[in-house]
Amino acid sequence: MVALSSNVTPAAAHHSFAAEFDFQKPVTLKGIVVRWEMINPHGWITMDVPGEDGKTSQWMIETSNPNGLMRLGWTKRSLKAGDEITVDGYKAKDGSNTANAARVTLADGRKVFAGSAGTP
Amino acid sequence: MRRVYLAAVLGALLGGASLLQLSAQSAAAPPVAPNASLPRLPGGRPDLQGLWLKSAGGFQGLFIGSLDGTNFAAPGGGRGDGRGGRGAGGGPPAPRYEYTPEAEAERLDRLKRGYEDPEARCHLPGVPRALDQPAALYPVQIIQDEKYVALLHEAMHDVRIIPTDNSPHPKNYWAWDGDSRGRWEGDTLVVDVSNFNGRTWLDMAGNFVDENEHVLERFRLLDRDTILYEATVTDPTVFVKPIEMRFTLKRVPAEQQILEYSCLEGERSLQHFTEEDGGKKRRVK
Repeated sequence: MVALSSNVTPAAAHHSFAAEFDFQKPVTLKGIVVRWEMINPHGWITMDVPGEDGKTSQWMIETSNPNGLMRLGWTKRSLKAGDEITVDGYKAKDGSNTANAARVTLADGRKVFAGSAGTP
Repeated sequence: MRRVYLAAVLGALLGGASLLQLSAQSAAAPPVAPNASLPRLPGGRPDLQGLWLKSAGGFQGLFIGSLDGTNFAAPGGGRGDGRGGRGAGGGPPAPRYEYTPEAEAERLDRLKRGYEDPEARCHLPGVPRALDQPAALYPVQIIQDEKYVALLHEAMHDVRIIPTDNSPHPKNYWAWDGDSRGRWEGDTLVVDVSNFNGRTWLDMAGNFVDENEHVLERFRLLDRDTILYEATVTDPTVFVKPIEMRFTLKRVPAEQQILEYSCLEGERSLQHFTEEDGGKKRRVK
């Protein structure tokens, strides 16, 4: 069960958001969950994202820390391989297929907060 | 079950803490209680025990993502110079750092080396950063008896066991969190913190201290559910004058508890820090 709260203080973390991600590069990724790791100090969603050219690229999505997510209602069973999700987040500055998740839209349409450090 | 475990661990820790004490002095007699409504231990001291969460304020406050001084948590995303003083997301004004010329040069250099933030590498945060985590995220459990106040921080699994006998700091000992010695001044717990290893940062923005850091903390129970925390940070080889900070801790509902925080479990972020934003190298594919 994932909490549906949308009025949440931005969850922060143990490192600087600005050093890793770019607020000027918002991104929406729709794809299939490969792996959901609810680990410290941040959770990571691995997902396959089909491109317009038909090729699939794999992205790593950083979420808030697992304790913060747990207090929002997330569990390690909130996502599973094969789930279709949409992630709204921010791209990493280093140009890799890495992003920070602000919100995750589940297959049933529920939007859940997954923010990490400084997520607006 | 869990409480039993925590009590057992704390008991072992409190027993071990005496190893570092050089002398023990008898605590002063409890003063006349000025506020009878506060929860108190049988000996009369204010009872600080419980689970607490920091409100806005402090060095970090809701100041997040700040290598270039941008406070994304402030209304409109305020920008600054990384030296504090912008306010802290609606909380008390953030303290203003005033560096010596040599230390200012070091701070500017660290802005480019954000990957070296020790806490990002899962080291202990130091004081006052142990309590001054980004607001409303990591709780701290306070456990107390007539001789000690123990702070069990969820963040970094940091533990501070503070004897309240005003005993002296040990010699030839330096640590990430320094050495804490407490005393009661009326209803205020005053903690003198020294013996730092000089490797900690005060926040994510490269603000730092060295081995000459000294902190005087004050914990005062304002009412059953509020602790006022104040800290004065001095470091004559880094700052030209003491830095003052304050924020409140709010009691967390009893159903909450400290959760495990295994920081090194899956750290994968530092590799993405770009060179111009505090990383070692650019990794554009």
